[in-house]
Amino acid sequence: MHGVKPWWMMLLTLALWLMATLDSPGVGWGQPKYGGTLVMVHTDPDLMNPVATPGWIQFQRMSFNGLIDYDVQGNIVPSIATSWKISDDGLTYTFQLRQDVKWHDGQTLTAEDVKFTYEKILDPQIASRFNLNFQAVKDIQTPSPSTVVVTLKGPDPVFLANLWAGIIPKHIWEKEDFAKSPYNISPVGSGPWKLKEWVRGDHMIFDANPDYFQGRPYLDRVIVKVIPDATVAFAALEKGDVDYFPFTGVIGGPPYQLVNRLKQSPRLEVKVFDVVSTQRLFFRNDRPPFNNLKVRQAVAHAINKRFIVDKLLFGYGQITHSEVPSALPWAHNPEVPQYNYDVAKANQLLDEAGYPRGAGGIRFRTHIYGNPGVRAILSEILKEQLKAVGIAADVVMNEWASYINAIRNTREIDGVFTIFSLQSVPDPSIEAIRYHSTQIKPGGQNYLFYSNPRVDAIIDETQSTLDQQKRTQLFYEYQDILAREVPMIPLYTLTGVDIWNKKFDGFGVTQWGGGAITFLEKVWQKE
Amino acid sequence: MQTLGLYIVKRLLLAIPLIGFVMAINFWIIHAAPGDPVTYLYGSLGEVSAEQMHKLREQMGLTQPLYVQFFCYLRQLLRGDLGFSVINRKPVLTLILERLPATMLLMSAAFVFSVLFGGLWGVIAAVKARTQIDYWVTILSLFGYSMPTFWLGLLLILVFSLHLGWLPTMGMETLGSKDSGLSACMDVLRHLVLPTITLGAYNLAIYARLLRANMLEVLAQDFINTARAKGLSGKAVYYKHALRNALLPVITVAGIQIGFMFTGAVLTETIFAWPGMGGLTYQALLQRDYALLMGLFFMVSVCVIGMSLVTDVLYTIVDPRIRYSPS
Repeated sequence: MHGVKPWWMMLLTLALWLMATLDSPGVGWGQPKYGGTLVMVHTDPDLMNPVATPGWIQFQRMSFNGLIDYDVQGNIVPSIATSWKISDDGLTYTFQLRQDVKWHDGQTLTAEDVKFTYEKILDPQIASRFNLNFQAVKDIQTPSPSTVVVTLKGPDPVFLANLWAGIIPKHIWEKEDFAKSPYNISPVGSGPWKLKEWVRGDHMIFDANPDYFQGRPYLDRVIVKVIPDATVAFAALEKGDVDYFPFTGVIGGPPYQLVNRLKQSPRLEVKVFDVVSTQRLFFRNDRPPFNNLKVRQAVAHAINKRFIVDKLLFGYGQITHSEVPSALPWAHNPEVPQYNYDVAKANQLLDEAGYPRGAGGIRFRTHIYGNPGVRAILSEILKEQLKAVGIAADVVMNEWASYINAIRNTREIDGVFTIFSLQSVPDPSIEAIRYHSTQIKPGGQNYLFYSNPRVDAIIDETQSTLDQQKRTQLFYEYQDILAREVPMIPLYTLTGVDIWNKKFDGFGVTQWGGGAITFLEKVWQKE
Repeated sequence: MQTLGLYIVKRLLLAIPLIGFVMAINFWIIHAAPGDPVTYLYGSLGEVSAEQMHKLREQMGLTQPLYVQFFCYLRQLLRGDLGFSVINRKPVLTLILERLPATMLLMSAAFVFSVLFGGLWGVIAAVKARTQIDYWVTILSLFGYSMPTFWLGLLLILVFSLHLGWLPTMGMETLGSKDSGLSACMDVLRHLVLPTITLGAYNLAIYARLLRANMLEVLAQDFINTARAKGLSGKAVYYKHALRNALLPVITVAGIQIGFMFTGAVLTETIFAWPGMGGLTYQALLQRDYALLMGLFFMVSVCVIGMSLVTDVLYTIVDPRIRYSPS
C-alpha cells in the first residue's frame, strides 16, 4: 500500500499540470486562432463617421483609425502615423505615415486624407465632436503622400491626444454632403472591421478586414445587436444568446443589481474597471437659494454618498470629492476639502444661511431634475436626503431630449440636477469648459451659471501651457477652488462592467475608452 | 355588390381629410414636446457649441415657423415622399420598409393567436357557463387583461428562456446562425412565440370575455329555443346559430383593436428587441426624429383606417342583414 501513494500523487500532479498548461494562453488550447462570430450588445451608434458622429465616439474604432492610438494602459502609441516630431516651441507637428494602410475599397490612405479629415473637423457646419479640440490648428501641409505637417496658432498640450480621431477617405467624402450621405451608414474606413450590414436600431454585421494594416482580426465576424432593455440584455447574456456586453451596451449603463448574479454564472467572465466619468450634482448657482455658499455646503453635508453608491450602484462606483476623476491620476487632486455626511452640520449651515425651518419643518422648496433610468432613482434618493435637512424638493422627470433641452437650451431649470458625460480625450481641460464664465449663454456649456475669474484664468492656461507639471498644479488649484465654492457636488465616479462568455478570450479592458470594445480585433474564440 | 363598391369608394375619399387631420395633430404634438433632434444628439456634449447647434438646426430646417414646416412636409407627402430621417440618415420609407415585415409577422401572429384562443376560450366559457372551467377562463382572462405588457414580457423571458431554456430571449433570429430554408423558418418561429403571447394576451382576454358574454346573451334568445325545439343538435345550435350572431361585436372590437395593437407592439418589440416598426417608433420618439415619426404615424393611420373599412365590409359577410347604401 505504501508504494501506491506516490503514484497517485504523480498522476494527480501530472493531471493538474496538464490542466494548467492547456488552459494558459500561448499553449495548446490557449493559442489564439482565427474564425468564429461574436455577438455583442450595443446601442445603435448614431453614425459610422468619426468626424461627424455625435454618438459614443469609441465605437468608430471598429472601422476607423487615427494617426495615434491608445494602448490598454492608456499610453499614446503609433497607429497610422509611425512617428512624429514636435518642434521646440510646440507649434509644429510633423507626422510620418505608414504607406501600407488601405481603405476598405482598396485605395491607399495618404496624407491628403489626413488633411481633408482635419479640415472637415474644423468646418463648423459639421459639428464634429473634435471641433473644439482642434481650435489651435492654423495650417495643415502635406509635403509628401506620407508626411503631414500641422502648425498650431499657439501651444496646445492636448493636441496630440486628440489625434486618435478617425481619418476618413477624401476620395469618398469630397463629393458627399455630410448631412445626407449614405456613407455615414455604409462607411469606407481603414480599421479592423468592415461594416457589411446595418439595420438601423436593430443590428450591425461587421466582417474582419483581411487587409487590416495591424493584422487581420482573429474573429471572422462581429454582430452588434441593439437590446433596448438592460434586463433582457443580461438575460440574453446569461442564456448565451449574446456573447459580450460592454459597459456602454445599453443606454443608462449596465443594471448593476444583476451583475452579482452574472458573476456566479460559470460560463461568464465579469470584468470591473474604473471609468473616466463622474456623476455630479449641479446647482443653479446664480439664483437663491443656491447662490448662497452655505446652502450649497449644507447640501454637500446632507448627501450620503456611501448610501448612493451602495443602494443605487450596488457598490459599483467610487465615492469622489474632486472634480477630476481618479482615473486621471496625474491631474486628480485627492486633497480637496471634503464634506462628510453630517445632517447636524447641514442643519446648522442652513440656519446660518437664513433659511430656518418653517411650517412642516420645511426651510424652502426646490426642484430636482432627472430623466428615466439611474438618474430617476438617484433623484428620488437625493429628494429623501434633502428632506431630512428640511429642503422639500419636487422631482421633475423628463425623457432625455426634454431633460437636456431644459438644462442646456431654454435654461429653465431652477434647482439641482445630475449629469455625467464620457469624454473624447483623457484630459480634464475638455470638461473644464463647463465652469468657464464665457459659456453662460443659451446653448453654452456652463449650465451651472458659475463664474469665477480665477477659474477662467486657470482653464485658459491649462489649454495653452505645455509644461505638464504646471498643468498638474493648475488642475490641483482648480479642483481646490471648486471644492471650496461647491458650484456642484461630485458624487461618484462610474465603475465600468464588461461581461463576456468564456468561450472567447483575448479581451483587453482599458479604463480610458471604456472597456474591451476598444480592442475587439484581439479577441478570439476558444471553441 | 355595386352599392358596396360605392360605399368603399366613399369611405376611401373620406379617409383623405381624416388622415390629413391626424397628421396635423401629430405634427403639432411631436413639435410641442420639448427638445429637438439636435438637442437629443448634441445637447449633452460639452464639445459642441451653441453656434454649431444653431447651424445644425438651420440645416435641418428646424428654425422655420411650425406652419411653414408643416406645409413643406405636406407638399412633400403629396409627392409621395415620406422625407429623410436626419438621425438615421436614411429615407423614411426605406427605414419603414426595412421594419414593416417583422411587425406584420408579429402582429398577424398575435392577432391570429388572440382571435383563435380568445374565441375558443369564450365559447368554452359560454358553453360551460358557471362551471369550474368558466371560472378558470375568467381568472385567466382577467390576468391577461390586467398584466402590463412590459411585465408580462419580462416574466415570460425569465421563465421560458432563462429558467426552462426552451425559447430564445430576444430578437427575431439566431444571430450569426448559418441556417437556411426550413431550419431558418423554425428559428424565426421559436423567436416568435414569446412576443406573440405578450402582444396577444391582452386582446385574447378581451375577445374571450366579449364572446362569452355575447354567446350567453344570444343563447337566451327565442330563436335558439326554436332551433333546439326543432331538434337541432347542441353543436349546431352553438356553432351555427349562436356563434355566428355572437361574433359580430367581436369583429367590431377586433377591427378597433388592431390600431391599439400597434401601441402594444411598440412595447413588445422594445422588450424583445424585435426588429419591427414598434421599436423604431420608440426610438424615433426618444430621438425626436420628426420625419420618421410622421412617416410612422402616416403608415399607422392608413392601416387603422383601412382595417376599420375591412371590418365594416366583413359585417356584410358575417351578417347578411347588413347592407350598405351609397346615400
